[in-house]
Amino acid sequence: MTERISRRLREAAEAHQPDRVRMLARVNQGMAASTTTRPVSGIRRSWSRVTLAGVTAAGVLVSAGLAFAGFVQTGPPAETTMPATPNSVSTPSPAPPSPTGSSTPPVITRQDPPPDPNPPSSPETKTADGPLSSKGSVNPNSHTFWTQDDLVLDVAAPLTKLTVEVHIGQTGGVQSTGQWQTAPSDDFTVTVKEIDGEVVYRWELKPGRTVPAARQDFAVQYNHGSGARDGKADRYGVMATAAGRDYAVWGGFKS
Amino acid sequence: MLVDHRSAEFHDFFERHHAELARLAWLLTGEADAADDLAADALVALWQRWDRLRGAEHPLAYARGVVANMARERIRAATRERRRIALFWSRGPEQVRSPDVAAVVDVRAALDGLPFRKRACVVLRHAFDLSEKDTALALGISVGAVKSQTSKGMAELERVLGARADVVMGRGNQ
Repeated sequence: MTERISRRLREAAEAHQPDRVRMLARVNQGMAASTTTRPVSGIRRSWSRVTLAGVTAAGVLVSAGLAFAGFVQTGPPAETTMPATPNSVSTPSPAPPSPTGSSTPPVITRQDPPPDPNPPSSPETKTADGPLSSKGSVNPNSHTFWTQDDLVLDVAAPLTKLTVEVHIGQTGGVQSTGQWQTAPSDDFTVTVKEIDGEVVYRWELKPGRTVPAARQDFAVQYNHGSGARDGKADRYGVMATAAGRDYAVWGGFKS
Repeated sequence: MLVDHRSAEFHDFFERHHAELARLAWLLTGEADAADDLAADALVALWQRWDRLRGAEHPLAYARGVVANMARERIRAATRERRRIALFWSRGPEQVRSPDVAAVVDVRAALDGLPFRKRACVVLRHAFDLSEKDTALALGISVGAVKSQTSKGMAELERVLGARADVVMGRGNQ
Protein backbone atom coordinates (compact mmCIF):
# COMPACT_ATOMS: atom_id res chain seq x y z
CA MET A 1 0.00 0.00 0.00
CA THR A 2 2.79 2.42 0.88
CA GLU A 3 4.47 1.62 -2.40
CA ARG A 4 1.25 2.34 -4.22
CA ILE A 5 0.93 5.73 -2.55
CA SER A 6 4.58 6.47 -3.30
CA ARG A 7 3.99 5.74 -6.94
CA ARG A 8 0.97 8.00 -7.05
CA LEU A 9 2.97 10.77 -5.41
CA ARG A 10 5.71 10.42 -8.00
CA GLU A 11 3.15 10.48 -10.78
CA ALA A 12 1.57 13.57 -9.32
CA ALA A 13 4.97 15.27 -9.21
CA GLU A 14 5.68 14.39 -12.80
CA ALA A 15 2.28 15.61 -13.90
CA HIS A 16 3.60 19.09 -13.41
CA GLN A 17 5.53 20.23 -16.45
CA PRO A 18 7.42 23.33 -15.43
CA ASP A 19 7.66 26.18 -17.90
CA ARG A 20 11.41 26.34 -18.22
CA VAL A 21 11.51 29.50 -20.29
CA ARG A 22 9.31 31.35 -17.85
CA MET A 23 11.42 30.18 -14.94
CA LEU A 24 14.68 31.09 -16.63
CA ALA A 25 13.40 34.55 -17.46
CA ARG A 26 12.34 35.10 -13.87
CA VAL A 27 15.64 33.82 -12.53
CA ASN A 28 17.64 35.99 -14.91
CA GLN A 29 15.56 38.95 -13.97
CA GLY A 30 16.16 38.27 -10.30
CA MET A 31 19.86 37.80 -10.89
CA ALA A 32 20.10 41.05 -12.81
CA ALA A 33 18.19 42.86 -10.10
CA SER A 34 20.37 41.49 -7.36
CA THR A 35 23.48 42.42 -9.31
CA THR A 36 22.38 45.91 -10.19
CA THR A 37 20.72 46.93 -6.96
CA ARG A 38 23.57 45.98 -4.72
CA PRO A 39 26.28 48.20 -6.05
CA VAL A 40 24.34 50.77 -7.99
CA SER A 41 27.24 52.99 -7.40
CA GLY A 42 29.63 50.13 -7.89
CA ILE A 43 30.43 50.66 -11.50
CA ARG A 44 30.55 54.38 -11.04
CA ARG A 45 32.91 53.97 -8.16
CA SER A 46 34.97 51.51 -10.06
CA TRP A 47 35.10 53.78 -13.05
CA SER A 48 36.38 56.51 -10.86
CA ARG A 49 39.15 54.30 -9.69
CA VAL A 50 40.08 52.92 -13.01
CA THR A 51 42.88 54.41 -14.87
CA LEU A 52 41.22 54.83 -18.16
CA ALA A 53 43.38 53.87 -21.01
CA GLY A 54 43.31 57.43 -22.14
CA VAL A 55 41.31 60.46 -21.29
CA THR A 56 41.33 61.55 -24.88
CA ALA A 57 40.14 58.22 -26.10
CA ALA A 58 37.46 58.26 -23.44
CA GLY A 59 36.21 61.63 -24.57
CA VAL A 60 36.11 60.46 -28.13
CA LEU A 61 34.06 57.45 -27.18
CA VAL A 62 31.65 59.55 -25.18
CA SER A 63 31.04 61.83 -28.12
CA ALA A 64 30.69 58.80 -30.35
CA GLY A 65 27.58 57.84 -28.44
CA LEU A 66 29.19 55.36 -26.07
CA ALA A 67 28.46 57.59 -23.17
CA PHE A 68 29.28 55.35 -20.29
CA ALA A 69 27.16 56.13 -17.34
CA GLY A 70 29.30 57.57 -14.64
CA PHE A 71 32.07 58.00 -17.05
CA VAL A 72 34.77 59.54 -15.04
CA GLN A 73 38.00 61.20 -15.79
CA THR A 74 40.51 61.13 -13.04
CA GLY A 75 43.36 63.50 -12.53
CA PRO A 76 46.76 61.96 -12.17
CA PRO A 77 46.15 58.29 -12.62
CA ALA A 78 45.86 56.30 -9.45
CA GLU A 79 46.82 52.92 -10.65
CA THR A 80 45.97 49.50 -9.36
CA THR A 81 43.08 50.59 -7.24
CA MET A 82 40.56 48.60 -9.21
CA PRO A 83 38.83 46.33 -6.72
CA ALA A 84 39.46 42.72 -7.47
CA THR A 85 35.78 41.90 -7.36
CA PRO A 86 33.72 44.93 -8.23
CA ASN A 87 30.58 42.94 -7.63
CA SER A 88 31.30 42.64 -3.99
CA VAL A 89 31.60 46.35 -3.48
CA SER A 90 28.47 46.76 -1.49
CA THR A 91 28.81 50.04 0.30
CA PRO A 92 26.03 52.03 -1.29
CA SER A 93 27.42 55.28 -0.07
CA PRO A 94 27.56 57.85 -2.80
CA ALA A 95 30.44 59.45 -1.02
CA PRO A 96 33.49 59.89 -3.13
CA PRO A 97 36.02 57.12 -3.26
CA SER A 98 38.00 55.50 -1.95
CA PRO A 99 39.46 53.37 0.76
CA THR A 100 42.74 53.00 -1.04
CA GLY A 101 43.29 56.17 -2.96
CA SER A 102 43.17 58.57 -0.08
CA SER A 103 45.02 61.18 -2.04
CA THR A 104 42.75 60.88 -5.03
CA PRO A 105 42.26 64.27 -6.57
CA PRO A 106 38.81 65.63 -7.22
CA VAL A 107 37.03 63.84 -9.96
CA ILE A 108 35.12 65.28 -12.83
CA THR A 109 32.08 63.15 -13.21
CA ARG A 110 30.09 62.99 -16.33
CA GLN A 111 26.94 61.11 -15.48
CA ASP A 112 23.81 61.60 -17.54
CA PRO A 113 25.39 62.81 -20.72
CA PRO A 114 23.43 65.83 -21.81
CA PRO A 115 21.18 65.41 -24.79
CA ASP A 116 23.31 67.78 -26.73
CA PRO A 117 21.78 68.12 -30.18
CA ASN A 118 25.14 68.88 -31.70
CA PRO A 119 27.75 66.92 -29.85
CA PRO A 120 31.32 67.50 -30.85
CA SER A 121 31.05 65.11 -33.65
CA SER A 122 32.89 61.86 -33.75
CA PRO A 123 32.15 59.55 -36.58
CA GLU A 124 29.48 56.92 -36.03
CA THR A 125 32.13 54.27 -36.21
CA LYS A 126 35.85 54.17 -36.24
CA THR A 127 36.96 50.63 -36.63
CA ALA A 128 40.71 51.16 -36.89
CA ASP A 129 43.17 53.25 -34.96
CA GLY A 130 46.91 52.70 -34.76
CA PRO A 131 47.52 49.07 -33.87
CA LEU A 132 43.80 48.39 -33.37
CA SER A 133 41.42 47.09 -35.95
CA SER A 134 37.93 45.94 -35.01
CA LYS A 135 34.82 44.41 -36.42
CA GLY A 136 31.47 43.75 -34.72
CA SER A 137 28.99 41.20 -36.00
CA VAL A 138 25.89 39.38 -34.84
CA ASN A 139 26.70 35.72 -34.55
CA PRO A 140 24.75 33.71 -37.13
CA ASN A 141 23.63 31.25 -34.46
CA SER A 142 21.53 33.94 -32.84
CA HIS A 143 17.79 33.42 -32.93
CA THR A 144 14.53 35.06 -32.01
CA PHE A 145 15.07 34.79 -28.29
CA TRP A 146 18.83 34.84 -27.94
CA THR A 147 21.70 36.75 -29.46
CA GLN A 148 25.46 36.56 -29.44
CA ASP A 149 27.40 39.61 -30.56
CA ASP A 150 30.99 39.00 -31.63
CA LEU A 151 33.73 41.58 -31.50
CA VAL A 152 36.96 40.74 -33.29
CA LEU A 153 39.84 42.95 -32.28
CA ASP A 154 43.00 42.65 -34.31
CA VAL A 155 45.91 43.85 -32.26
CA ALA A 156 49.15 44.71 -34.04
CA ALA A 157 51.21 45.75 -31.02
CA PRO A 158 51.22 44.62 -27.40
CA LEU A 159 48.69 46.49 -25.27
CA THR A 160 49.49 47.49 -21.73
CA LYS A 161 46.01 48.80 -21.07
CA LEU A 162 42.75 47.67 -22.56
CA THR A 163 39.14 48.36 -21.80
CA VAL A 164 36.45 46.78 -23.93
CA GLU A 165 32.80 47.63 -23.50
CA VAL A 166 29.80 46.22 -25.28
CA HIS A 167 26.52 48.04 -24.76
CA ILE A 168 23.27 46.24 -25.45
CA GLY A 169 20.19 48.40 -25.76
CA GLN A 170 17.61 47.39 -23.19
CA THR A 171 14.78 47.04 -25.65
CA GLY A 172 12.77 44.98 -23.18
CA GLY A 173 13.50 41.63 -21.66
CA VAL A 174 17.21 41.72 -22.38
CA GLN A 175 19.01 39.47 -19.91
CA SER A 176 22.66 38.61 -20.06
CA THR A 177 23.38 34.91 -20.31
CA GLY A 178 27.14 35.24 -20.36
CA GLN A 179 30.22 36.41 -22.19
CA TRP A 180 33.63 35.09 -23.09
CA GLN A 181 36.88 36.11 -24.68
CA THR A 182 39.80 34.32 -26.27
CA ALA A 183 42.39 35.89 -23.97
CA PRO A 184 42.95 34.27 -20.56
CA SER A 185 40.05 35.04 -18.22
CA ASP A 186 42.51 35.69 -15.47
CA ASP A 187 43.87 38.73 -17.30
CA PHE A 188 40.61 40.61 -17.11
CA THR A 189 38.15 41.95 -14.62
CA VAL A 190 34.76 41.40 -16.17
CA THR A 191 31.58 43.10 -15.12
CA VAL A 192 28.05 43.05 -16.46
CA LYS A 193 25.75 45.81 -15.31
CA GLU A 194 22.56 47.38 -16.45
CA ILE A 195 23.07 51.10 -16.64
CA ASP A 196 20.72 53.71 -17.97
CA GLY A 197 18.84 51.48 -20.30
CA GLU A 198 21.75 49.44 -21.51
CA VAL A 199 23.26 46.16 -20.47
CA VAL A 200 26.96 46.93 -20.28
CA TYR A 201 29.62 44.25 -20.51
CA ARG A 202 33.05 45.43 -19.61
CA TRP A 203 36.47 43.83 -19.77
CA GLU A 204 39.26 45.63 -17.98
CA LEU A 205 42.80 44.39 -18.42
CA LYS A 206 44.28 43.89 -14.98
CA PRO A 207 47.20 46.12 -14.08
CA GLY A 208 50.51 44.61 -15.04
CA ARG A 209 49.03 42.31 -17.67
CA THR A 210 49.67 42.64 -21.36
CA VAL A 211 47.60 41.69 -24.35
CA PRO A 212 49.86 40.28 -27.05
CA ALA A 213 49.74 41.33 -30.66
CA ALA A 214 47.21 38.84 -31.96
CA ARG A 215 43.58 38.54 -32.83
CA GLN A 216 41.37 38.87 -29.76
CA ASP A 217 37.73 37.83 -29.76
CA PHE A 218 35.12 39.07 -27.32
CA ALA A 219 31.56 37.77 -27.29
CA VAL A 220 28.46 38.63 -25.32
CA GLN A 221 25.30 36.58 -25.11
CA TYR A 222 21.87 37.56 -23.98
CA ASN A 223 18.25 36.53 -23.98
CA HIS A 224 15.65 38.93 -25.23
CA GLY A 225 11.91 38.88 -25.55
CA SER A 226 10.45 37.53 -28.72
CA GLY A 227 11.41 39.37 -31.84
CA ALA A 228 14.63 39.11 -33.76
CA ARG A 229 17.32 41.71 -33.17
CA ASP A 230 19.62 42.95 -35.86
CA GLY A 231 22.37 44.38 -33.70
CA LYS A 232 21.36 47.96 -34.39
CA ALA A 233 20.79 48.66 -30.71
CA ASP A 234 24.22 47.29 -29.79
CA ARG A 235 27.54 49.13 -29.75
CA TYR A 236 31.10 48.44 -28.73
CA GLY A 237 33.94 50.65 -27.68
CA VAL A 238 37.60 49.84 -27.08
CA MET A 239 40.27 51.91 -25.41
CA ALA A 240 43.84 50.73 -25.40
CA THR A 241 47.36 51.84 -24.76
CA ALA A 242 50.30 50.60 -26.83
CA ALA A 243 53.84 51.90 -26.43
CA GLY A 244 52.61 54.73 -24.27
CA ARG A 245 50.03 56.01 -26.74
CA ASP A 246 46.27 55.78 -26.47
CA TYR A 247 43.99 54.47 -29.14
CA ALA A 248 40.27 53.97 -29.45
CA VAL A 249 37.94 52.19 -31.80
CA TRP A 250 34.17 51.82 -31.73
CA GLY A 251 31.29 50.70 -33.83
CA GLY A 252 28.19 48.57 -34.07
CA PHE A 253 27.31 44.95 -34.77
CA LYS A 254 26.23 43.96 -38.25
CA SER A 255 23.98 41.03 -38.84
CA MET B 1 36.44 35.81 -9.38
CA LEU B 2 34.68 36.29 -12.64
CA VAL B 3 31.04 36.95 -13.10
CA ASP B 4 30.80 34.66 -16.08
CA HIS B 5 32.19 31.64 -14.31
CA ARG B 6 29.84 31.91 -11.35
CA SER B 7 26.96 32.64 -13.62
CA ALA B 8 27.70 29.66 -15.87
CA GLU B 9 27.96 27.40 -12.85
CA PHE B 10 24.68 28.67 -11.50
CA HIS B 11 22.91 28.30 -14.84
CA ASP B 12 24.14 24.75 -14.97
CA PHE B 13 22.56 24.19 -11.56
CA PHE B 14 19.37 25.72 -12.90
CA GLU B 15 19.26 23.33 -15.84
CA ARG B 16 19.78 20.31 -13.66
CA HIS B 17 17.39 21.13 -10.86
CA HIS B 18 14.73 23.62 -11.89
CA ALA B 19 12.20 20.92 -12.81
CA GLU B 20 12.53 19.12 -9.50
CA LEU B 21 12.19 22.35 -7.55
CA ALA B 22 9.14 23.43 -9.54
CA ARG B 23 7.52 20.04 -8.97
CA LEU B 24 8.26 20.23 -5.28
CA ALA B 25 6.61 23.66 -5.17
CA TRP B 26 3.67 22.30 -7.12
CA LEU B 27 3.10 19.36 -4.79
CA LEU B 28 3.36 21.61 -1.74
CA THR B 29 1.11 24.41 -2.99
CA GLY B 30 -1.06 22.90 -5.69
CA GLU B 31 -0.69 25.93 -7.92
CA ALA B 32 1.03 25.20 -11.19
CA ASP B 33 2.02 28.66 -12.42
CA ALA B 34 2.76 29.97 -8.97
CA ALA B 35 4.89 26.89 -8.35
CA ASP B 36 7.19 27.78 -11.24
CA ASP B 37 7.50 31.36 -10.02
CA LEU B 38 8.11 30.22 -6.49
CA ALA B 39 10.83 27.81 -7.54
CA ALA B 40 12.41 30.53 -9.69
CA ASP B 41 12.39 32.91 -6.73
CA ALA B 42 14.00 30.25 -4.59
CA LEU B 43 16.71 29.91 -7.22
CA VAL B 44 17.32 33.65 -7.13
CA ALA B 45 17.68 33.42 -3.36
CA LEU B 46 20.18 30.65 -3.95
CA TRP B 47 22.09 32.83 -6.42
CA GLN B 48 22.37 35.59 -3.86
CA ARG B 49 24.24 33.19 -1.59
CA TRP B 50 25.97 31.34 -4.38
CA ASP B 51 29.48 32.29 -3.35
CA ARG B 52 28.95 30.65 -0.02
CA LEU B 53 26.86 27.73 -1.21
CA ARG B 54 28.81 26.67 -4.26
CA GLY B 55 31.57 25.42 -2.02
CA ALA B 56 29.17 23.64 0.29
CA GLU B 57 28.03 20.16 -0.43
CA HIS B 58 24.34 20.80 -0.31
CA PRO B 59 23.21 23.69 -2.48
CA LEU B 60 20.31 21.52 -3.62
CA ALA B 61 19.24 20.79 -0.06
CA TYR B 62 19.36 24.49 0.61
CA ALA B 63 17.23 25.18 -2.47
CA ARG B 64 14.65 22.60 -1.41
CA GLY B 65 14.50 24.20 2.00
CA VAL B 66 13.92 27.62 0.48
CA VAL B 67 11.14 26.21 -1.71
CA ALA B 68 9.51 24.60 1.33
CA ASN B 69 9.68 27.81 3.34
CA MET B 70 8.32 29.90 0.52
CA ALA B 71 5.52 27.42 -0.09
CA ARG B 72 4.56 27.50 3.57
CA GLU B 73 4.53 31.29 3.57
CA ARG B 74 2.42 31.34 0.46
CA ILE B 75 -0.09 28.91 1.89
CA ARG B 76 -0.30 30.89 5.10
CA ALA B 77 -0.88 34.11 3.21
CA ALA B 78 -3.49 32.45 1.06
CA THR B 79 -5.23 31.08 4.12
CA ARG B 80 -5.34 34.52 5.69
CA GLU B 81 -6.66 35.97 2.47
CA ARG B 82 -9.30 33.29 2.24
CA ARG B 83 -10.47 34.04 5.75
CA ARG B 84 -10.47 37.74 5.13
CA ILE B 85 -12.66 37.68 2.08
CA ALA B 86 -14.65 34.76 3.44
CA LEU B 87 -14.83 33.12 0.11
CA PHE B 88 -13.96 29.67 -0.91
CA TRP B 89 -10.46 29.81 -2.23
CA SER B 90 -10.48 28.23 -5.59
CA ARG B 91 -7.47 26.32 -6.72
CA GLY B 92 -9.28 26.18 -9.97
CA PRO B 93 -8.04 27.61 -13.19
CA GLU B 94 -4.68 25.90 -13.42
CA GLN B 95 -5.70 22.49 -14.56
CA VAL B 96 -3.23 19.69 -14.71
CA ARG B 97 -2.74 18.41 -18.21
CA SER B 98 -2.16 14.81 -17.43
CA PRO B 99 -3.73 11.73 -18.92
CA ASP B 100 -4.77 10.78 -15.46
CA VAL B 101 -6.02 14.10 -14.22
CA ALA B 102 -8.46 12.81 -11.67
CA ALA B 103 -5.85 10.67 -9.94
CA VAL B 104 -3.47 13.58 -9.70
CA VAL B 105 -6.18 15.85 -8.36
CA ASP B 106 -6.98 13.23 -5.73
CA VAL B 107 -3.38 13.07 -4.60
CA ARG B 108 -3.10 16.83 -4.52
CA ALA B 109 -6.32 17.13 -2.52
CA ALA B 110 -5.12 14.49 -0.11
CA LEU B 111 -1.84 16.35 0.36
CA ASP B 112 -3.73 19.54 1.10
CA GLY B 113 -5.37 17.71 3.97
CA LEU B 114 -2.02 17.25 5.68
CA PRO B 115 -0.41 19.83 7.94
CA PHE B 116 2.48 21.45 6.13
CA ARG B 117 5.36 19.66 7.78
CA LYS B 118 3.84 16.24 7.27
CA ARG B 119 3.09 17.15 3.70
CA ALA B 120 6.67 18.29 3.09
CA CYS B 121 8.10 15.12 4.65
CA VAL B 122 5.86 12.84 2.65
CA VAL B 123 6.57 14.66 -0.59
CA LEU B 124 10.34 14.77 -0.19
CA ARG B 125 10.64 11.19 1.01
CA HIS B 126 8.17 9.53 -1.35
CA ALA B 127 7.65 11.77 -4.39
CA PHE B 128 11.34 12.62 -4.69
CA ASP B 129 12.91 9.58 -3.05
CA LEU B 130 15.04 11.59 -0.69
CA SER B 131 16.66 9.84 2.24
CA GLU B 132 15.55 10.68 5.75
CA LYS B 133 18.82 12.50 6.22
CA ASP B 134 18.43 14.66 3.11
CA THR B 135 14.84 15.41 4.00
CA ALA B 136 15.91 16.49 7.46
CA LEU B 137 18.64 18.64 5.93
CA ALA B 138 16.24 20.37 3.55
CA LEU B 139 13.60 21.07 6.16
CA GLY B 140 15.95 21.86 8.99
CA ILE B 141 14.42 19.29 11.34
CA SER B 142 15.76 16.16 12.96
CA VAL B 143 15.85 12.75 11.34
CA GLY B 144 13.58 11.51 14.11
CA ALA B 145 11.02 14.16 13.25
CA VAL B 146 11.22 13.20 9.58
CA LYS B 147 10.57 9.57 10.47
CA SER B 148 7.52 10.22 12.60
CA GLN B 149 6.03 12.94 10.40
CA THR B 150 6.47 10.84 7.28
CA SER B 151 4.92 7.72 8.70
CA LYS B 152 1.95 9.62 10.13
CA GLY B 153 1.53 11.50 6.89
CA MET B 154 1.65 8.36 4.79
CA ALA B 155 -0.89 6.69 7.06
CA GLU B 156 -3.28 9.57 6.51
CA LEU B 157 -2.74 9.52 2.76
CA GLU B 158 -3.40 5.80 2.68
CA ARG B 159 -6.58 6.28 4.61
CA VAL B 160 -7.84 9.06 2.34
CA LEU B 161 -6.62 7.73 -0.98
CA GLY B 162 -7.35 4.12 -0.15
CA ALA B 163 -10.98 5.01 0.48
CA ARG B 164 -11.20 6.93 -2.77
CA ALA B 165 -9.40 4.21 -4.66
CA ASP B 166 -12.30 1.91 -3.88
CA VAL B 167 -14.62 4.33 -5.60
CA VAL B 168 -12.59 4.97 -8.71
CA MET B 169 -11.06 1.53 -8.94
CA GLY B 170 -10.28 0.32 -12.40
CA ARG B 171 -9.88 3.66 -14.10
CA GLY B 172 -6.21 3.84 -13.41
CA ASN B 173 -5.46 0.53 -15.07
CA GLN B 174 -6.51 1.47 -18.54
